[in-house]
Amino acid sequence: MKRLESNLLNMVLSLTLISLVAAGALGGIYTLTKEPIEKTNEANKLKAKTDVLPSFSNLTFDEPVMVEQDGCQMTIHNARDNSGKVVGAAVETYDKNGFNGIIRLMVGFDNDGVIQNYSILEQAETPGLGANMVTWFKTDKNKQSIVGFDPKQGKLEVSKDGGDVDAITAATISSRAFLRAVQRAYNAYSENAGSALSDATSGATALVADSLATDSAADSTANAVEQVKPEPVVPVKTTVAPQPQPKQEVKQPEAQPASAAQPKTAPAKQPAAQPAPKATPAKTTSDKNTTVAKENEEPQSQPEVKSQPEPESEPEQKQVYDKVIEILEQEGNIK
Amino acid sequence: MSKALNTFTNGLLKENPTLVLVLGMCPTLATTTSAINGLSMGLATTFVLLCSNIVISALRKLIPDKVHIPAYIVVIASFVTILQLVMQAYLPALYESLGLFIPLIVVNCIVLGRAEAFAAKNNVGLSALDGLGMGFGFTLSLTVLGIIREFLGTGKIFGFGLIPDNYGMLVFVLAPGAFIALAYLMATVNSLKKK
Repeated sequence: MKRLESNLLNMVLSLTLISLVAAGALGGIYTLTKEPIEKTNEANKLKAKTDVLPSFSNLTFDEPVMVEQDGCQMTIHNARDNSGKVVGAAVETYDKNGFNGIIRLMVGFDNDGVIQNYSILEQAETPGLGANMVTWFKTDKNKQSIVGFDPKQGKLEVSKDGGDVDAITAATISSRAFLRAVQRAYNAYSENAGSALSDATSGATALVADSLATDSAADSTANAVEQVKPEPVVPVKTTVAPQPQPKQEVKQPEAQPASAAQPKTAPAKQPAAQPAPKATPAKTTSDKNTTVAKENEEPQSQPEVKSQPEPESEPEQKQVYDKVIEILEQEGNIK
Repeated sequence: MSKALNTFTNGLLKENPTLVLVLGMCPTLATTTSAINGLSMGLATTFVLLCSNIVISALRKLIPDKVHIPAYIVVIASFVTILQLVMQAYLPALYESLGLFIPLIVVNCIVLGRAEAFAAKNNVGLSALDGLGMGFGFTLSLTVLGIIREFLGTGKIFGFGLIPDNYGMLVFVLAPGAFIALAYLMATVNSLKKK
């Protein structure tokens, strides 16, 4: 077996050539696989968002909202169902101090901040131990499941640290990192998506109001939902849009002045404007057991709602909603 | 022809990389926490072994002796990266479950060991067979070890529960149990071979 002589030229040449060919091959494969990898990541993300909100179907997601929590960048995806009301959110969170590096996950919350489900996006934990976090915290055993966990009523920490969640056996560090990430997601959701939360409360009533409307209203809402994706100012436009469209409803034209006035101020504060148009049907919810006559009272009370200034911040939105309830109680519409 | 056959079956039992040559212990101990992980790791390593053996054998006359190690490593690392990219693109579930251990195939002693011990001294055909044989032997031992550890540790095999979960001995999912299981497997196989 005669090899090339080990002189400098041969060594340099052979190494260079091998490296060049290797680099070329790797570059080629990288280009070939870039798209499928991206597609898989996108599909995984969408699946993660949908998986973490299992009790809802036909969800569409708003444009992601980036918020900062504890110095970390969280991404909140508000989720809407068919009628366009916000039913919860999927929050992308992470913790850099997993056992083997960063842990990224998606947590689903409903409107009350109760954890619906979670999905691990990225983790490099030990297989068989920390990596079990993919299923451990969903398994309904002892106190390890966080599905249905309400962070307001329990502590999102491992039992060892005085919390209410059982850590993965022999993987405490991974478990701690996981729960820290979930806690961060909850903090981000409850603090910064407060607009989403109060949207949801008024949105919940809007859903019932919509059900009182005609099919055309529902159709236009469905169309509006499709518009959700492309536009950033979406939440406002879509919810306002359906109302002016149907002409056969008596109350609709009356509703127009109120809802028409709102869009002007609405674009300024995207999710903030939501409570306003939705607050108007809010009263119809309570009226749902009463006659149509009472529904027609709604336009008269609308100016009262409209006259209240568009809420600038989440607490103010809550105040608006509370005031609405007050007004209704005064009118004897709510028991 | 029989030389080819011998080369192939060599790696399966007579010179099984895990149980006889005792090479590649790190991934053996780490990825056999479950049978499917062990099987996947073995197959991934087989792919790298096959490809690197072929290329290194084809280039064996062109690589000067003094730079043979860096040259082999570059070849092996390229194939591992190709494997990683392809797995990430087309087998994402497997990629997720093996995670860190795919890039670690580069430093798996079996790959470099066979490259130096066999591929550098034999033609492409035989080297390919050797790579396949060693790879399958590795896969076999990893799968068997994985089955043992998964069954004793969680009562399941390939995810199918055979006995209830709480009869599992946690130690077999962790590192000490890996050593214990591997040691007993090695002792059993070697004593059977002596007969």
